[in-house]
Amino acid sequence: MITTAAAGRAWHFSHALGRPTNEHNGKTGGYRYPVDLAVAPDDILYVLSRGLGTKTAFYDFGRIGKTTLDEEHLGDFARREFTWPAGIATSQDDRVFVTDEWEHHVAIFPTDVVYPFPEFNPDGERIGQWGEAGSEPGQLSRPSGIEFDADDNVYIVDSGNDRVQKFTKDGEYILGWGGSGSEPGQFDRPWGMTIDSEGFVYVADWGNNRVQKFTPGGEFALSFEGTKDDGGDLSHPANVAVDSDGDVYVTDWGNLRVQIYEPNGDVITALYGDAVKLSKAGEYIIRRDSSTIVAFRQVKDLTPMGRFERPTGIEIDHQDRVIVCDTRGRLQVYAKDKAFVAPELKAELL
Amino acid sequence: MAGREEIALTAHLMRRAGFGAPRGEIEELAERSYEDVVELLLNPQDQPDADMDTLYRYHPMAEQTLTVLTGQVNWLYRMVTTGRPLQEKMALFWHHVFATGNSKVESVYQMLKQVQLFRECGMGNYRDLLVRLAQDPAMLYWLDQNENHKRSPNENWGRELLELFSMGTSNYTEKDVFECSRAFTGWTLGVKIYEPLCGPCPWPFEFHPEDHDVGVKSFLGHEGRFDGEDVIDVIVQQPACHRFIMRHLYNFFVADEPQVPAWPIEPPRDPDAIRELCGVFVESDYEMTPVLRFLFNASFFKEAQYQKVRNPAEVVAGTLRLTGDMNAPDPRWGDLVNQTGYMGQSLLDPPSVEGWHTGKEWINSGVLINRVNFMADQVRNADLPGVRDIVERVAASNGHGMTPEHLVDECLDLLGPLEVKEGTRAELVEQAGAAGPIELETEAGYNDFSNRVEEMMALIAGTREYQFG
Repeated sequence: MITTAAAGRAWHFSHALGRPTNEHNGKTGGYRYPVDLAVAPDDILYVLSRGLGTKTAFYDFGRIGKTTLDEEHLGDFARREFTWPAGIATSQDDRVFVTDEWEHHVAIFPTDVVYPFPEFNPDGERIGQWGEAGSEPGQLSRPSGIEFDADDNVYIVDSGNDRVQKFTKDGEYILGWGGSGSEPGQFDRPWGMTIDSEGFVYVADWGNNRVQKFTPGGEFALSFEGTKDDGGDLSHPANVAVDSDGDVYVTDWGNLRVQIYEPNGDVITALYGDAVKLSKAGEYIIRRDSSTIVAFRQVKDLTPMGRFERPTGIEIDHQDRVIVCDTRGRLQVYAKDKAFVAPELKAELL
Repeated sequence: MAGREEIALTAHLMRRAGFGAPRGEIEELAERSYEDVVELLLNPQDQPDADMDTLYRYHPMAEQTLTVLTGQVNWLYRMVTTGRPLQEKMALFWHHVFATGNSKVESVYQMLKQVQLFRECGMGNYRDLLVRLAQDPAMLYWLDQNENHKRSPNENWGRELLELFSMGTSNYTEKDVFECSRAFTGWTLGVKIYEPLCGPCPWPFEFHPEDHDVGVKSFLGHEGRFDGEDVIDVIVQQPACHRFIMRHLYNFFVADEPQVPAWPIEPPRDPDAIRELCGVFVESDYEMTPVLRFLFNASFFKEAQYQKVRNPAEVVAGTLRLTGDMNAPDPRWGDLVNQTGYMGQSLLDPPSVEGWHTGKEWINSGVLINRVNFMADQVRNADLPGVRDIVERVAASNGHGMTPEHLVDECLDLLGPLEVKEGTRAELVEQAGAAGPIELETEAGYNDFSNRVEEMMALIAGTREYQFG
C-alpha cells in the first residue's frame, strides 16, 4: 500500500481506473483527456472526456463515460455533442449538465442511455440546453466549472468573463460576482469549482494561482495559495473538492500534484500520483499481448507511470474517497484514513 | 519612420531568422538598428515564450500527444505565437539536420522532447548538442542504438552521425564507421512503457557499462579507448564537419543549395561565405550563437533576399503570423495542422533520416496548389486582423487618388516588400482595374476596394516570387 500521511490523516492509494482510449465496454475502457467528473448519489461516476477539442473526424473522442468505482465500464454517451467540454455535474433529478467552453452553453443529458462504442445517436442526445454567449448578467463566455447546491440551483464558473454565476437548473439567472484582476474576489481565467456542505463556494482561480472561497452569495471568505515551505505556491489550479471533514483538495495542474489543505487554508500535504499498478483496463490490454507483458515486467522504475500528468477534475465520493482525473486517460483513487497513527518503529530498526 | 530599404531588410531578417511578422511589427523593429534586431533574436531568454499553458489547458492533446497531428499542433502553435522566433527556427533547423521520424519512433511525446532539446540547446554549443543528441531516447531508438552491443555492433547511428549529422560522405572510411559504432556501445534506452496502458511516459537514457566496448579504437587518425563523447570530440575538430554544418546553416538561412547527397560533388554556392562561417565556428569553439550573429550581419545574408523557396512550416506559420489568425487555442487547429503535410512537410515525421529535400523540391504541381490555396484563403479573409490592417494601410496610403497601379504596388510592399517581374506586375494591375475605377468615398466603394485588395493579395500569393522567402 502506498500511503501519504500528515497531520494525523493518511491517504492510501487505492487504484486507477481506465486508460487513454476512445473505447468503452464492460472489460476495458477509459477516457481521452478526462477533464472533470461527477459522482452520482448511487456512486456511479460520470467522467467527462475533453477529446481532441477540434472539429475533425475525431471529435467524438469527447464524451461522457459511465463507470463504477471498481471500474466496470457501463458505457458512454454524448459522443459528438461537444467542442470543448469542460465541467460536469449531476442534478437531483438525475440529469447530467455539461459546460462547453467553445459553444458557451450548458448541455443536459439523461443518465439512463448509453451506447456501445463507437455508436452514438445521430439525431443528438441532449435533452436540453441553455446559455448564450456574451458578457451581460446571465450570459456566458467559456463556461467551465459547474456544481449544484443543496437547492438544486447551479453555479457556473464563467471563465471568459472572470466571474461566477448562479442559475436555476433551467438557466434562469439568479446572481453573480467577480471581475477581472488579482484582488480578492476577482479572477483570471478561473476553471473548476465546488460547493461544500455549508454552501461555501470554492473556485480554482487558474491564472492567479490560487483557490478562492466565497459565501453562497459571493462574499470573499478565504484564499488557498500554498506555502513556500511545502514545494511552492499553487501553479494554475484546475479544480477543487472538499471532503466531509472540510479538508480541501486542489488539483495543482501546473505542479502535477493534488495539494491538500486544512479548512483554514494551512497546507497539510500533497499527492503526486501513485498508479504504479495498472487499472483493470490496462491489465486487460496488456494480457492480450505476451510480448507487452514481458517488456512491462522489465521496466526498472514504474514511478513515472504512477505520477499525475496534469490533474484536472477532482471529486470526493460518499466514503471520502478522493477521485482525481489524470490527463493520461485515467482516474486515480485515494482512500482517506481519518485517524491514521503512524507505526512506531523500534529503535533498533531505525 | 524607417525607409523602404530598412523595412525590406528587417522583413528579410524576420522571415529567415523567424517565421515572418506583420507589417506593424516589422516597422517597429526597423526603427532600431539592424544589429540591435539581430541581438534581440539572439537572446531569446529576454523575449516572452509561447504561452503553452494556455494551449495545454484548452487542448490537453497537444501536451499528452498520442498522434503525430496532435504533436504538430504543439509545435506549429509555438511557431505562430512564440516571442522567440529564432529559437524556434533553430529547433526546426536541427529537426531538418538530425531528421528523426515518428513513423519508427512511434512516440510523438518523445519526439517533442527531442524538439525541446533542440529548442534548449540549438543555439548553444554544437559539440554539446551532439552529445545530448547521442543520448536522446527518440534518436537512440530511431537509429537502433538499443541494438548496438559490444559483441555485435550496429552501425546505424555511427554511420548517420558521420554521414548526415556531422561530416558528410567521402570524409571517413568504413572502418571509421565501425570504430565510431563501437565507441557508442552501451548507450541505450530503458524499457519503454506501452503508451496505450497509461499514456506517454518519458523514455530513460541508460548507459550499460557491461555492454560497452572498452577496447582501443582507431578513429579518423586518432587512437584510444574512446567512448561516445571522445568520438564526438574528434568529429567536431574535423574541417569536414565545420564545412558540412556551416553549409547546412547557409542552405537553411541564406540561399538554397543542392540537396545534401550532392554536396561531395557540387561546390557550395558561395564558398567564401562557408569559409568565413567555418572560421567563426572554430574560433568560438563550436558555439552556434556567434556563428548566427556573424551570418545575419554578413552582406551575403543581407543580399540574399528571396533566394530561398520557403519550406511548408515557414509558409503556414508565416502566413498565420501575417494575418493574425490562430494565435490562441482554437478547434480549427485539428484541421489546420494538416497543411504542412499537404505541402510536403509532415513535421516530426520526415521521410527518412536524410530529412526533407529542400529548395525547388518543395514545389511540384500538387503541393503548389495546396500552398497557394492556403495562403490565398488566409489573405482574402477580411475577418482576420492582419488582413484588415493591410486593407486599411492600402486605403490610407493614397487617399482618394487610388489607382490600380498604386493598389498593386502597395499590396506588394505590404506582403514583402516583394518585387515581381514586370509582366507579372502588369497582369496584376490589369486585374486590379478590371472592375472599373477605384473609389473609397462611399461605403459600397470602400467595400469594393477592400475586396479588390483581398483578391490582389490572393493573386500575389499565387505568384512565383511569393513562394520565396
